[in-house]
Amino acid sequence: MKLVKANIYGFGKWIDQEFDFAQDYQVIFGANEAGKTTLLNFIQSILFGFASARGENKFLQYKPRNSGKYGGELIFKAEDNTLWTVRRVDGKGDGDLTLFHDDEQVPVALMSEIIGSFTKDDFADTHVFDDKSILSIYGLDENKLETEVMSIGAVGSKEWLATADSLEHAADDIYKARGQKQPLVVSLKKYDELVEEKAEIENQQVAYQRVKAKLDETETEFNDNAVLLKQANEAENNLRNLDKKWSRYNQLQRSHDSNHTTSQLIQSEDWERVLKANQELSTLKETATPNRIADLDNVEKDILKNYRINQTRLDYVRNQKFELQNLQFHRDDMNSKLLKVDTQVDQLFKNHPELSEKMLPLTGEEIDQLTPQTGKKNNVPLIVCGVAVILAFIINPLRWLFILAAIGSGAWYWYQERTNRTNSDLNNYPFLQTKGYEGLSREAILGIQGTVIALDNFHTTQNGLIDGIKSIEVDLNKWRKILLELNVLDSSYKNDNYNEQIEKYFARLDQIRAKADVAEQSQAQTQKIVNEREIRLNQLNKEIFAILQKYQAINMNMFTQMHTRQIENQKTLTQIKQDKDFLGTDLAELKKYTDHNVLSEELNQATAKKTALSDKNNELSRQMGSLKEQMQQIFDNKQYQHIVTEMAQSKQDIIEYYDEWISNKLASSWIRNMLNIATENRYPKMIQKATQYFSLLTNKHYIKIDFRKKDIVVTSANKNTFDVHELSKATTIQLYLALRLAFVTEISDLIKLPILIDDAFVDFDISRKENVFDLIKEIAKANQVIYVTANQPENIPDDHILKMGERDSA
Amino acid sequence: MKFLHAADLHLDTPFIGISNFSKELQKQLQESTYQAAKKLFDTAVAEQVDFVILAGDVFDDTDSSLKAQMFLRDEFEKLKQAKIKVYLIYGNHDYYRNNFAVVKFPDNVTVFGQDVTTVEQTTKDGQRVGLTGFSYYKQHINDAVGKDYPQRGDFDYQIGILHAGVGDDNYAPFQVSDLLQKGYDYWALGHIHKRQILHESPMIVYSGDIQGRNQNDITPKGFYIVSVENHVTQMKFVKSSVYTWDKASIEARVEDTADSLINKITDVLSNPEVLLTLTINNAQKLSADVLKMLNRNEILQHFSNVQTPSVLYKIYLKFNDNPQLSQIDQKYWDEAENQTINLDDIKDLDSKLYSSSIIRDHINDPDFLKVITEMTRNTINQKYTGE
Repeated sequence: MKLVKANIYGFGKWIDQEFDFAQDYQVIFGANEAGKTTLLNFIQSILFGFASARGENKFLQYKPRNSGKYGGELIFKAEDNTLWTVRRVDGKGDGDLTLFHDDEQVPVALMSEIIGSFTKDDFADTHVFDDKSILSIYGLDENKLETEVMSIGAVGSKEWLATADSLEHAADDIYKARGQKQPLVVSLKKYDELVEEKAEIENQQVAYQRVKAKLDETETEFNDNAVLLKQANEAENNLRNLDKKWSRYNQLQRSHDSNHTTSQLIQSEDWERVLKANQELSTLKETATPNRIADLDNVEKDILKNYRINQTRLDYVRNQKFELQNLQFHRDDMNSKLLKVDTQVDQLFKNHPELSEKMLPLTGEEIDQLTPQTGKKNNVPLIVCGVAVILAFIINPLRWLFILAAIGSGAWYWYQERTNRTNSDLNNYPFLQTKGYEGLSREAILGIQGTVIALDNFHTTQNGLIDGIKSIEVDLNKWRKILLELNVLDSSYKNDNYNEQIEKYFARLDQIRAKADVAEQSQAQTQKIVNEREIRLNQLNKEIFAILQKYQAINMNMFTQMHTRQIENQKTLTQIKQDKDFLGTDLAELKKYTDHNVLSEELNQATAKKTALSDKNNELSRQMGSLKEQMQQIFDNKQYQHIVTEMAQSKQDIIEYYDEWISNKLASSWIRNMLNIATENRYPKMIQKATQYFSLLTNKHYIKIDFRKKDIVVTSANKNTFDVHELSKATTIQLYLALRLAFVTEISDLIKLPILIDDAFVDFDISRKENVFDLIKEIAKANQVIYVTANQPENIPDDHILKMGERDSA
Repeated sequence: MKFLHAADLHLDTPFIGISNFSKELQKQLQESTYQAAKKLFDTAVAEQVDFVILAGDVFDDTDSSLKAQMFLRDEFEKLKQAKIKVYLIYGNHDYYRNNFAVVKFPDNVTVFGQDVTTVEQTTKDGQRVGLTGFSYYKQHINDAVGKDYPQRGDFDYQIGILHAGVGDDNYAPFQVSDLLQKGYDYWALGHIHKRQILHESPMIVYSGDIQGRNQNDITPKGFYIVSVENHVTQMKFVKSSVYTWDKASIEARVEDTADSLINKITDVLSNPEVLLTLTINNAQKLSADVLKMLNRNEILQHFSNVQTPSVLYKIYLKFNDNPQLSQIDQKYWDEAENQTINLDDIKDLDSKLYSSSIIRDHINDPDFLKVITEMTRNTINQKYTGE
């Protein structure tokens, strides 16, 4: 397909513009910003779609600012000279595409007739040479550049190599030969661990058989032991039974040992009789003198005797009893009078503190000495005054007179008093000292005279009474002597209430005398009762004796002992019978043991044996339980099942990871191999062309390109060979271009689209630029080339040059 | 006469990749080999067969088979009551080892020994049947033991019981022609889990396993009831599998959302008691978000939480060739495939991995290369789409 015409409706700066293209090569010359690149982008956009308004390709959008139209047409001439018109205008996505074949609209699917299965990127990678793709080469490091060079040979090879790399990485993420964490490595390790773990678990059947054999063995042992245990248990129970009965056996044994033979059994009625008789006997003995009259005791007898000896005197005493009472009365009376007087004396002293015991009454003379005048007159005026006052009230007519009299007498009395006081001096009277008035005033001495006289009188009375009492006391002492003599009083009696003692004495004496009379009377009666009792006692003794004799008992005590023994014997016999019944057949067994220790020892041994067997039984039972549990565990086999399942899962994981790993690996190497094959296959023709192009681009400096396995080797004009990485960067890029151009030429048998070169060789020097045109002409032999440049081309026929500025202005 | 031919009971098979399932379903799966076996023995009694043939791999693992042995003893006892005999051989999984058979089977059971032996039984209809077989005494048998089977004896009907694979070097390899030579009437084969009839008249039959055990063990599983009348052998397949593993695929579309995808998947989960492995074709058409959900197992998780007739086991994404991939280089792709996918190179790729018996066995699986090629292609497609 040759592009013969571009018809732009609106694209960037181009609106309603047409371009015709030469079918071999077309050089488009124009200044910067003349729209050269826009034209190339127009071609790509119409073929493969407009760039989207978003994302990083936004700048590739060429919607014209001055026109509503967007898009245009490309007209291709096929080899059969038919024309294909590709029309793309603004629309959804990458634009509305219409395809015409010789003016006839055909389905857009037929686009493949023009572009094959190329994508926009494929096309850009193979057919488009611009600053972008070449400048990006400059930015690469050696390895990447080498890869870039290497990758020429298959469509989209750069992406493929990247894909191969990423697959390789993905594979490494799953497994690395020396890795540790990668899942396949981990799974393999886990599987090995599980295998080991599984190996540690005993084979189920073997384990089962082993445990079963052990269980059978244990069961047999258990059963044997159970038999022995049963026997031992029985033996022990027997012995324990015997041991429990031993005390009874022992008792029985002892009962047998003692002598139980009795000479003559005491008849129970005899025993009853003796018992009854004896009872009566002892009762009789105890109540020996129930009715006996109380005799006088010795004291009573002495009193009676004393009375009989001193009867006359005592009777006199009895008669004088009241006399004595009188005496006492008198004495008591005087005593009480004396007490009264003492009290009065005390009262005097109390009332008159100035009174002293020493004070004696003054005689009338002495008193007169003390009171010479006042004694006669002093009261007369006072009396006159008093009388006058009384008369003044009674006798009305003379009232005034009497009032005067009263006033007059009062004044008189007052005058006398004054005179008395001024004329006294007590030291002149020595009798005052002797009679105990020392220190007292005259008025006090005179005032107390009445009291002193009373005191003096009291003293006189006191003395009289004391004398009287003394004489009565003398009489009473006489009486006391008599009473003591007659034993009426006890010498210990200190009081003098003799009358009472006498009465008491005679009351008792009368009682004794009465008692003595009664005793005399009952003497006879008592004798009679005593006699009867004696008879009864004899009777009872005889009766008892007869029975005792019957049983050869010496006395009642012995008989009682005999009877007690007899009862005990009976008890023992009963006990023996009971014991024998209780012991039953064990008796014979028990008899085999000489003593309890032997039996105990044997029992202990039996118990020990039983305990041992029982322990063994328990132990075996435990073992059996444990074995059964083991068997169940072996049977359930959970751990094993778990491991087996884990292993199966692990195995599955390993396979899945492996598959993923290997498919990534293989995919990677598949891609690489594909690229290599592609490169190698195209080699003969491509290498020829590449060499030619490379030579042109390097001004014939290099004359040969070789592919060796994965490497490219170039040979210089002077026969030196270089690896790619030994070349200068510029040379490497020239090699890259040579190879790419050779490749695109090479694949022209598959797809024929114009090669678009956008000033790609701008950095090359002039001579090389000339070479570039030579190169373009060369390429154009196989492929249409559309070359845009800002440099004035030389040696190019005019019909192959399109000057943008000129045409524009035209 | 009538007999039952079953093989590969694999009692006690561990099931894997089922931890997402409900506990109940997990338990049912773990018990499923027993359930299937029960169905087998019940059918034998119901059909009043003369005998039951178990052609190897009755136990999945002889290191731990007590439960299985006791189960079988009880079932065999029931068969004995029904006057049904049992002919049993051990295969590579349950090859005979010392102390293995702890439980004593009742006397209606004949277990073949290490050497090829022939026993005879007269059936209820008076046919004299010869049964020839042997048991594995080691895991791998490289000899073509099938060739050692005696020529047809003097019987009305002769059956060869053999646990082996066609041309499978490790497991008593044989060729169909070897067996045909013997002139037997029926070959009851075990070992291959896929039910298949290798030859008709005489019948050479793999009954397959009785319960699918993994996602590749698809289709309903069971055993054959074989009736012979007038020397005509007729076979009836009886399904015993509790759950059937199955595979299905759906097509992804550009407009698919998570919801629309779930609806599509729900539609294929319509068969009860099926464990479904689903492939989504043209996954490259799905949006990045939906792909992300799938890769995070979110969709699978969703189905483990909802009740559907079938149970969704796994989802595989198939990335088909992308039109973006330039066809111009297709011949190089094809060439590179031949160069890249190469068993020897794969084996040599990593000696440590190849030393793992699991991986070695996996690589040596006949289908390995095919599967891996597919996976690799898928990986490339996915990667290219994804990037």
